[in-house]
Amino acid sequence: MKLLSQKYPMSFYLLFLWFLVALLGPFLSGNSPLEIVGESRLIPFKSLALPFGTDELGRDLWSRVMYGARLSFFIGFCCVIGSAVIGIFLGALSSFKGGIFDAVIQKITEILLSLPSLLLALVLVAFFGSSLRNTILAVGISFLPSWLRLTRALVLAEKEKSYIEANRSLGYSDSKNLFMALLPNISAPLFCQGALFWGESILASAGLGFLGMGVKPPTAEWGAMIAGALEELFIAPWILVLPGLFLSATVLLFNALGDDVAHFMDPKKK
Amino acid sequence: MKSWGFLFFKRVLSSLPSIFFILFLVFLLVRLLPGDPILALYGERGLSEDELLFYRKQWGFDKPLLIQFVIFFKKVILYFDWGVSTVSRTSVLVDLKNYLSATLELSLLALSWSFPLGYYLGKLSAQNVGTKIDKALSQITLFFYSIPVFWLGAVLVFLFAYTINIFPVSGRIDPFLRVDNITGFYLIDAFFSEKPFQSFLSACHHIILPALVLGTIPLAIIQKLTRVSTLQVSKDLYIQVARSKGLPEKKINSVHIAKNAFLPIFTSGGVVVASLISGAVLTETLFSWPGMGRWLVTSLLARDYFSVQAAVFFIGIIVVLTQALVDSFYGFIDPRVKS
Repeated sequence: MKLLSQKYPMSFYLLFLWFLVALLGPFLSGNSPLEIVGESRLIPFKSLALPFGTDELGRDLWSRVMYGARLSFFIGFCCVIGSAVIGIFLGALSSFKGGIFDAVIQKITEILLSLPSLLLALVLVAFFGSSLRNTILAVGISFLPSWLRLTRALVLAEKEKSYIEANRSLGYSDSKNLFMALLPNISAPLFCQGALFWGESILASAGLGFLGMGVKPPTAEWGAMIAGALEELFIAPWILVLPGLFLSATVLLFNALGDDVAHFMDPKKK
Repeated sequence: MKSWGFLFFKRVLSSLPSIFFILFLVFLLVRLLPGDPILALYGERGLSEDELLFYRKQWGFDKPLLIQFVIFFKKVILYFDWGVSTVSRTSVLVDLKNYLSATLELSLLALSWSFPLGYYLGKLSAQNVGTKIDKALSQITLFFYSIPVFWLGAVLVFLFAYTINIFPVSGRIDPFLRVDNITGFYLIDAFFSEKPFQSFLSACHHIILPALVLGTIPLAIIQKLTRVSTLQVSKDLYIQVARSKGLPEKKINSVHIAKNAFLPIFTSGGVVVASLISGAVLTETLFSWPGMGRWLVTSLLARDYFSVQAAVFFIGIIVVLTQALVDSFYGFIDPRVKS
């Protein structure tokens, strides 16, 4: 019950609420995000059946925004988990052990870091071809060097501490020492980074969608929806404003969570 | 102490291998993309099999990849020849010069307002740490950091280019005004054109909205950095000493703290430049600004091998050079660091 009695930061609850909205939202109108509904395109709010009206092709904007939210949560989750597991594992192992392996990993990190992450994702997604899976892959890979660098810096600072030395003299194996003793001690900044990257990967995948190189068109994806809405900007601005608002709010919440996690998980600050 | 030029040169030299590795990587990736420039130009049914082979031979795309890379690499090293764009049919370097100057103009203008403002706001929130001002400023920058630039840009276009029609929707200058490309910066080139005053006004008119949008990203980053580093420095003992000496608070803030607090902001130059380029890709696409980012996206879509290679390579170079410049300069602005 310790988990329940703890006081979590505000952004955590808001995000949870947001997640519920995305989960339950589509049931409000009950329309498919891909089918054309209503009598015409670009109609503004009329009733609860079409809370946001229809988009440039006459589809239900509300359910598109909601399915977009689900998709964004999913993309962000996959990107963060995928890149974090690989990045933390490789980064921690290489900097803990040192040697040639470390030098190679460091060189690769350095090379990948000389390209801005959105550009890296852009080139990768062009290479893989645009689809949901490839967007996740490309964005995930583009975050990998940042994970490697962060983990490396943290491990290098932590491994000199005396408790690691003490564990070693107690006969801990290197892997046990690293993953059971060291990693929990640097988990706060890693969780913080995870929350930030969750938001950032949502932003990046929306950026790819906006450039027409993300998730394939009929799928309800916020970036592509904004790009599509540009053509009708002067007639029906709300079909651009609404998905963007949801996108901004989601990213904002994740960034706020990242800031809060740093305070929340740091025992010294309590 | 070694000269600054030497340090810079050494730093660039050490990152050269990774830059060339990027070049090789991009060369491979772009050629392994599905489709090729000829198909992208003429469409799948536009050419017969023979014609397709003929054009591929003409451009040298029929050779094995390794040979292609050797030829390309030799040309780059010996003549600095980056090839010819398959779309515009002009030398890639000429295209690069135009696009690069357009992006530079936009980015510099974006930085010129966001850097001072971000720095000022960061200091303001550090000096009022924990107060309402600090919290409000942190929320505002968090907001700017989170909203997608392409959406913010579109909303501003709707407000300022449509609702109150004071800014143009896209482009660099009024299409009826001719500006010769001398420096590539239209704000400067305008003075050498036939109607200098009018051209300059038009160029200003066109750049304000995109520069405003693009600047929001560095604004947030710089505000955050300044706040954190100012707070960090103000905890130092020498600040307490300065206070106990009875120095006026204003002087402590503007001299003692500011000097040391500036260092981390300075070293993050590479991060700021990288974020500007990422932002430029989206901003340029939205505003049809003929810059590097838009060039890269259109070249990728057209499978324009030579342009993609050059665009990615030079973007990499810009980031690496900025970081090298910052690192080599660090020893000079911080005399405690030697080497």
